[in-house]
Amino acid sequence: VYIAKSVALIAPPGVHASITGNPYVNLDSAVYIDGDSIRVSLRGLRINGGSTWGVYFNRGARLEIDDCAITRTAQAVTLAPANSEAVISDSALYDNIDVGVVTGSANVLLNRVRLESNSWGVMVSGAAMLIVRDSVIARNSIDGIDVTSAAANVTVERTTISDNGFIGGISILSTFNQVTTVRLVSSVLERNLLAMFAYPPAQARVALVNSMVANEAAAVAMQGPGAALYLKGSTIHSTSGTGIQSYSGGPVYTSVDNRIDAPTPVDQVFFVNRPWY
Amino acid sequence: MARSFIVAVAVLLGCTSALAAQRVFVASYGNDGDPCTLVLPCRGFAAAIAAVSSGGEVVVLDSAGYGPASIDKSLAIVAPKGVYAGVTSSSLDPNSAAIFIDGANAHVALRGLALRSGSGSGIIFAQGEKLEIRDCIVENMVHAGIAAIAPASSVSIVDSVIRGNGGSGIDIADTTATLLRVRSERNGGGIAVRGKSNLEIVDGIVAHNVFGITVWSVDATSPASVSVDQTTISDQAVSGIDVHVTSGGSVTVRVSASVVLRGIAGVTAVVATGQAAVRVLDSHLADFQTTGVNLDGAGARLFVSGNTIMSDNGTGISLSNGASAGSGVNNRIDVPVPVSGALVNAPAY
Repeated sequence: VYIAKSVALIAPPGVHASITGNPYVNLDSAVYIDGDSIRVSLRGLRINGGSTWGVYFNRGARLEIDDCAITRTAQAVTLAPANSEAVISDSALYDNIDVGVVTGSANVLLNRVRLESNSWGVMVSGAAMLIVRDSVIARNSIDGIDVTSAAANVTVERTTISDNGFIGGISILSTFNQVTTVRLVSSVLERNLLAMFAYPPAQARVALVNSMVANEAAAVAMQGPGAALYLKGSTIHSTSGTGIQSYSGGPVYTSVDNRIDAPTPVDQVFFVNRPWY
Repeated sequence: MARSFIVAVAVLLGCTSALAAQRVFVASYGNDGDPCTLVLPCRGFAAAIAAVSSGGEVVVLDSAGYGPASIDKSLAIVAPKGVYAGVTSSSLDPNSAAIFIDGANAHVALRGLALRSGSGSGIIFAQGEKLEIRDCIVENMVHAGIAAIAPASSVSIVDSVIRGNGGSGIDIADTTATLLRVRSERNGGGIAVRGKSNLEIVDGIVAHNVFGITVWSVDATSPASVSVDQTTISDQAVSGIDVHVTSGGSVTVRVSASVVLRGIAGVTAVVATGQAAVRVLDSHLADFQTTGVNLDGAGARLFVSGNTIMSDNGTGISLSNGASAGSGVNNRIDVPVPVSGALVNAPAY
């Protein structure tokens, strides 16, 4: 489907509406969206392989994806236009060769979304404002959330991120003169690695609020003086390694209400206590 | 009316005859001698699976029973909401199932199926890479509801009900799995975890089974890790969560933001040789008969933080035969014997 104007494609409950892409049509996308300032809604669709992209949002103001399943593509949803809005809700993006969602620099909300068994669950590739809530990001072979962009702002709320491989649950690589912010609120990050790499003069700020991180080896790894961790009411577990491992990392700001259960709770970590008010 | 919608949408989306093998159809009025197209659907899953290409879809058009199926390739079977797609297994063989999946590297999705009142098991995932089960009901099988036993596979079970099966509701072996909004009720065992497995249970219900969640690690090559979030585990005949470690095995169990009610005990871990790490966080354990959390054996280690443990009977936390506690704090225990053994307050950071 090639969409160049504001439109809604709706398959109501009880209707199976399936699309298989074709690499030779619609720029190798099952749904290609390309129109100035358009608003597009996709509801109840199943996109089952056939093309590199499931939904490619090339131009437009807003994209809504509700109750859809996208599988067997390379990139399930790719959001190209900067400053656009995208809402993906009650959907499953699974078993895609490459990525579940590529954010670009869009303003993105993932609400009750399952991102499973891809290579990356979410790739934050631009200065995106990303909110993930009530979702599951699991069993992706490389990273759950991969933040490689500068100036991204990511908030993860009430979400389970588990069993992602290679680097792990959330990987943050901050470079250039930028600040990357990631917050986990009331979330679980398990059997992954939360790693922050901030190369001067870049900064990576991560907040763990009422969340739980558990890994076999280092639960949280931070590298570079611009990598800062904010802890509040969280628990960190490592079965055989270190709770928080710092490699010349920046400070860990804490309210002294966090628990670390690990053979080595902290290694080379510099704590800064925040007062209670 | 539903069929006319499907016809319209399929035509709209370019569902041409050239793609027929990519998408095949079954219906109550179908015939297995037909080509399983939208106009000439097949009657049962077996014929449709034979007709669909690898990676394709079997779509159910209307409510009926569609017969047991063996799947040896990647595909999705989809029954849309409002359509009842029943499958009854007829064999007493524990190795037979209503849906039997045995295909090297197969990626299989099952959506909207009702596997009921049969013999054998509901779904056996014997071989394959990935399985997704969504909006399914598996009930009253003689053996397991779902046996996800394909080595090194990835399994997701979502918005499904597994109940009244004689064996385990869900049997996980050598698999990494996520259970989201799954109810496992009135089975022989709610959820059994064996082999080298990782399991994440989120927003589920495990209730009225003989055993709740049982985790076995019987040697060093079969470590298991089970996490339970925002889940209600209640009214098992025995314990809510049972961990058994022998012969150098290892198990990690974490329970957080969950409720464990009634039964003989809440969470138990018995380590003969090997290790078990049990973490209970921000949860409520109540009304058990003997023990809220019971760790037995030198390799068992407990971490508890932010819990309330309440019962008129027994012991809140019991540590015996060398089990150790690197405890957090902020637990409230209202039980005749709050703690048997030594809890250690972990520092706050």
